[in-house]
Amino acid sequence: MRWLALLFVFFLLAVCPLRAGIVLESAPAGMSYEEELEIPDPLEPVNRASFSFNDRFYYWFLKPVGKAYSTVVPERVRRSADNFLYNLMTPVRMVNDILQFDFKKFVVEFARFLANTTVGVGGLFDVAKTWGLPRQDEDFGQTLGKWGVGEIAYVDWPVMGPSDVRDTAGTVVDSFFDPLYYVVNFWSYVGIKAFYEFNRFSFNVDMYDDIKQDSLDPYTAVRNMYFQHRRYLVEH
Amino acid sequence: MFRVFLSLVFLFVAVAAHAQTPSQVVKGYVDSIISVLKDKRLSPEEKKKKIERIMDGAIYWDRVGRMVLGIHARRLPKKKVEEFTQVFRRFVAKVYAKKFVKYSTGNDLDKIKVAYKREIRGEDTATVLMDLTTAEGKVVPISCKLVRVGDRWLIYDVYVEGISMVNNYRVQVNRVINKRGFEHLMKVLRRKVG
Repeated sequence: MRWLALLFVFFLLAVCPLRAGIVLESAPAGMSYEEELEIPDPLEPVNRASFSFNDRFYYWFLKPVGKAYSTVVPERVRRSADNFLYNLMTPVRMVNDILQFDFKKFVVEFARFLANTTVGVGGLFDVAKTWGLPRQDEDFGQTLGKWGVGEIAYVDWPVMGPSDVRDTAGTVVDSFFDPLYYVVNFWSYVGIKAFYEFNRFSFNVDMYDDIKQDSLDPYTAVRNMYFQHRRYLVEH
Repeated sequence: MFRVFLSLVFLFVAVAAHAQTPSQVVKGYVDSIISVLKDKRLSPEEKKKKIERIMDGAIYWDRVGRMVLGIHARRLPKKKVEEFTQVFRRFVAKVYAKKFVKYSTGNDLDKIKVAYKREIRGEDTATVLMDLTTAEGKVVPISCKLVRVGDRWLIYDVYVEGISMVNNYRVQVNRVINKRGFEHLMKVLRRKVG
């Protein structure tokens, strides 16, 4: 499965410089009254169905379980769990820093890893952040974006939520760079990743609820926020 | 003589206020909002009302309204555009006031830091770039877009982590109008405003 994803990435790299021009053809935000972001969403009917499923999944399962989890487990413990797993995934970010030729970020990432692994007791505490070295998230989806690959199509995955074809392939490729994958078996790896995401979700359980309340069309809002945010990350 | 002196003082104060840079203008609004949030004498509802008032004076609503309506601003009668702008103004002020008050409860506001990084000036427009460090230590990049209206700088868009408020509402408004029509959009907005 992962090798298929890798092959797919090679395919994207071969084909997408042509497509990127089309997909990323968005006007820079400014004073214009009529500019629109180009959002590729050919799978909209399927994505909307998945969005409805995720909406129910959130209200019936994720939100109550997330609330219970954040009530029972103190925030300090959840932060440490997050710091620990984030620190373990440092090689993924370092490889992507190199692939993006961003050596400053690479050095910062390495310094964070050294500081948090030693003084931060194996990564449980993010001491680097307090020393002026905040987190900087880089992934292979962003690397592909920097290389000129467009998003291809928006994908709202059941349970996992908003993504696009490029970022989905990027997530699979990132697992190649993750040492954890080679230490534990496949299902344990999936379990650890799921816990990592759920634990992160517990810091802001109400986020989706707030977005929904403050939106005029929640599906369009979430999709637009996803694209704007990812394009910002690719640019920075 | 005293009157002349007083007039000169007022004139000086007025010129100084108008001579504010866009960064100073934004800082003024941010500081006002933080001081309202920190005020322990105020109830959450009072805080929301005060923040809504601050936002009301800080934003160039006419422009925001037309930008959010996008292509529909040209197609709709002027009266409808004004009607939309009025309701949208109340909606946005309410949404953000609620967000600020919700975030401030349970978080140590003294830990929140705002670093003003840069100001990009055009002839009549400006962008103020800043980093907001949350109580949990997360750095959130924010940029404010401003336009000079007469002798004042007014905000017309805010980007949080690359997400533009105007752009986000514009795509939604476009979707609702195209699918259900302008009157339905107004119905949804009025329901949200309460």
